[in-house]
Amino acid sequence: MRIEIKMVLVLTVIALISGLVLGLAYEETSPKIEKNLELAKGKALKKVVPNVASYEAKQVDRYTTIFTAKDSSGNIAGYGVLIEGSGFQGPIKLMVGFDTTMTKLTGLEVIENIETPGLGNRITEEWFKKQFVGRVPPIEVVKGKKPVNEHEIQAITGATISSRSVVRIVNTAQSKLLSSLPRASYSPPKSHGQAAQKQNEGEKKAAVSAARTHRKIEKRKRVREEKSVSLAERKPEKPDTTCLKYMSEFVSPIRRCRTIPMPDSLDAFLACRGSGDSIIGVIVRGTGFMDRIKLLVAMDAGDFRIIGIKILEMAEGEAFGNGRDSTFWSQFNGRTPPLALKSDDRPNGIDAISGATETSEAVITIINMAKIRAEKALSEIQS
Amino acid sequence: MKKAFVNGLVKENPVLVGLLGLCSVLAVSNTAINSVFMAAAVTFVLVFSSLIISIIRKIIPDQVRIPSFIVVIATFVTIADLFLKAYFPEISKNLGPFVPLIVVNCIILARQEAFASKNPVHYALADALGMSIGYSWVIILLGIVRELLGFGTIFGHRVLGAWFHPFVVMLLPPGAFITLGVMVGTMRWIQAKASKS
Amino acid sequence: MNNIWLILIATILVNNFVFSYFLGICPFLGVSGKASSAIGMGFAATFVMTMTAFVTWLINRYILIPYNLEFLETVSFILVIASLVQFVEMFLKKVIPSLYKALGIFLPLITTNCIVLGLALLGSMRNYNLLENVVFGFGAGIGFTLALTIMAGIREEIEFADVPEPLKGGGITLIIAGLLALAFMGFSGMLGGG
Repeated sequence: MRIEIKMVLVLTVIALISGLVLGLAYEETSPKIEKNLELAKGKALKKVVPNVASYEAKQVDRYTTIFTAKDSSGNIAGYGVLIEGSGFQGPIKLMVGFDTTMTKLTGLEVIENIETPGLGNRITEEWFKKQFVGRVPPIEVVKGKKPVNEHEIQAITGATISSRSVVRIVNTAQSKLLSSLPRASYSPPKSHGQAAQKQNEGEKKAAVSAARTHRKIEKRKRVREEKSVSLAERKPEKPDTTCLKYMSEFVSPIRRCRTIPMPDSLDAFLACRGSGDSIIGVIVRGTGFMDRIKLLVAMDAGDFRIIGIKILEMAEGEAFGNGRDSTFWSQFNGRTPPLALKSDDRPNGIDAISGATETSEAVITIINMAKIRAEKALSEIQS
Repeated sequence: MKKAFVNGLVKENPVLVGLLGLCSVLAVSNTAINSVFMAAAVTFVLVFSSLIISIIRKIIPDQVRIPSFIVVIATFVTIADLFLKAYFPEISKNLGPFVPLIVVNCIILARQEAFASKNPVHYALADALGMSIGYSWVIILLGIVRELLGFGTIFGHRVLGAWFHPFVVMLLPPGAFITLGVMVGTMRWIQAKASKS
Repeated sequence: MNNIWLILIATILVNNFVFSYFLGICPFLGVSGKASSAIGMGFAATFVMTMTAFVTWLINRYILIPYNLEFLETVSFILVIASLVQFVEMFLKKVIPSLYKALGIFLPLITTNCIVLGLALLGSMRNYNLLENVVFGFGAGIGFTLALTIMAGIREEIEFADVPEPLKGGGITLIIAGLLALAFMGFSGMLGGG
């Protein structure tokens, strides 16, 4: 036999046998592997959302899958977002649980991470994950002090960047959840909550706070003053001047202006134009790429179209776009959140600042939150 | 035959003396349990590849021997990988790409090239077993040292009390390099002592 | 664009394949004290790795995933790498003999080098698109070249140092590698939450 033929023959036979053996091995193990993956997902979902009996998965993009969890009687129990984002060393994959209103976190599980063992890796520790339960995104990281407000999380000592990454991914998870599920399944906490929904956890709280809004504003302030430490740092209550100061940039002339105090010291403002239509401005903050971002977002109080955005605090890196690019910010005007970054399946999304996708994404998350806060603020004064 | 087996244990230890296959030794030895599973996977692949190669050594033309070896090795590596994924998903996640990377572990290819392809089956098996045990004790010892200093635990059981402040660096790449460097040095020192007396 | 830069910087400095994934350790430890051969080896590897990243991405996306053959990943990648190296060798010999003279002797060593297969496997785990994957391969190659060159420079100096007898050779090289890895960890802060 010629040596060339023998070479080809032997290699082919070896490759064929190898393929056959592997095919058999795969047949044998694949159901088990699939089951492991499904089990892992289901297990994570059950950890972050209470009372899960069954779930439906929907892949939103290549980093995100949304699980709609149902309880044993078929009602929606909550939502889980399986999402991947970048951490300190590499990708971090999380399962984030949301309540039925999509506003409050019900749990957090770290599925995959390659953070530094002993430091960033501590994001998998129970106390860190527990912190997220009951919080309302957008969440922020605080260092060195105990978190007081419902959107604050304490960083892991020595691993601030990993902690921030987790927070950023959680915030993104919410904006992805809000922008990708049909509007019908999202009901803002207070205003339309009474519809056909069940009296669940979130709604009970809504009912309580709705009752609270009936009391006089003065009394409500006092209650909060006892509850919140950060209130002490607040400016003296002169609703008109504070409101005018913030809102005069977007509305002129202002006929009436009033501050709507919110439970976490980030206020909202309602201003009326001469013609009678009103503009609502909300202060929102969240975590950007480098540091926190604080914005004032002005929206039409009727249809929540954005009228203007003012940057109150922002310290993003100079190198990757400090985020002050006016063409980026002007894109928001006239549009109604929830918004998302432009992508193949979202041609009319927002163009990111070139070189600063992370920052742009963070800004969009914060602006989406602004709408939820505006709805909340309006329902406070309506009652 | 006994010589073929004993060689790999200490005198020609593939890791400490040959400095081969270090990539997996360094990468997964951050805990003892990971080391044990890696050692088992390498042993499985090395023993079975040597067995097969030794059996078919006479029909493989010399020109295509390296590709043939690689295909045989890759087959066993994939079987090991699938097995871990199916029955030990947690461990498989920890070991990550380092299980498939056994394919290019120099120890395995070197043993096929230097030994299994030239020797009858029982010698090849003895050699493969010796080398595997040589590899295994080094990676497991390294895993125990790193886990002890990095977490204060051995196989997940707390050994050092609350007074102990873990050396996080032991779990990171620098700790892996330095610990192995010290082990290589110690081994040389012991061997030098032994040959003198 | 941002993404591309991040991948490039991450693979060269922050997640250098040698210092954080321990890939390509054999040539790294075995490199002689000659910086020129280190650079030659590095560039040959970079060349092969960039090509590998390109080819394995296509195979993964258009053959393995559509036909549900992901379990053949390791086997097919290693065969592709082996034939790719052969092909590159033949191509260089015919078309650019001068480059072949410079890099040729290093090429056969690259097939069994875990950095190339490691790159292919890590790339397929990361869901990159084609461009990102190629940049990932290129960056990993440059990072490898950098590590190799630094090590060669240090080896040159070590020749004149008084190293304790048992640590000579492998021992001291590993300890130096540890110190270098420690130094490279300093780059981690560079990307922040990137």
